[in-house]
Amino acid sequence: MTSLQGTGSRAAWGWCVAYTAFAAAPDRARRRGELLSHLWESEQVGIRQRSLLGAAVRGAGSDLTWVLTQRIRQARQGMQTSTPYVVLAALSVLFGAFSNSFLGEPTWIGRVQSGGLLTAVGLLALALVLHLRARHRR
Amino acid sequence: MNVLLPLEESVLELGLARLKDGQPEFYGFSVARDLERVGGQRLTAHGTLYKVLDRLERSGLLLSRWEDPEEIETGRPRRRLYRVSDDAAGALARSRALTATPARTGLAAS
Repeated sequence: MTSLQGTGSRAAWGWCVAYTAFAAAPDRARRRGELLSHLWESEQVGIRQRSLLGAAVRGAGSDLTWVLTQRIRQARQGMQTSTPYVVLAALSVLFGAFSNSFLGEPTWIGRVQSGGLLTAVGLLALALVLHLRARHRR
Repeated sequence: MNVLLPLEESVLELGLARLKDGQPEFYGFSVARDLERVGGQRLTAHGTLYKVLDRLERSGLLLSRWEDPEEIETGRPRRRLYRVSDDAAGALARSRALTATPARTGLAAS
């Protein structure tokens, strides 16, 4: 797929493909595009393959922290929407019902109501607040 | 963003110099080459360089765009072009002033 010729630049490209696999699609496309251009130009001006590999190895720590930071940022943004809380509310009711029925409690509905249902109501309230806040901002 | 990392300062400095020369746009590889030439450093680590460019852009000190297809010579992958924003010079000056203040390092007290 790439027009890279040398071993060092191919290895650096392989590393880029590997760590960006964990990044969100727009970040992944951008980083890959930038690095492909960088490696291609490095080859054109005759930078030694060993130096290219060295530059990739020395930057590996930064690459990993970059992916992690992107992921954390994305997760934080996701938690500011109502969707995860609606899903969690439904899951808490299901989990409560499931676990209580397997424990053989005769009054499982009552336990779900006091535990899982209460959690679900709280989560739905939080989802509603976030939804209204997002609507207000728009 | 108050105190910038040394590499962030160097990138902004290069960007401002390019702006002054009437060629405001630069790209990752050109920054690596300039740093090598000016600072006599070895090739900047890819991960460090692109993380710094990303950070500066998120801080509003750099602006970027993909190169237009018409600008690309045949066979060359397109570049991500950066240029410094209006806030860059101020941020660089602030960062330099802060790092130059002895009180920040605790030297003034001794």
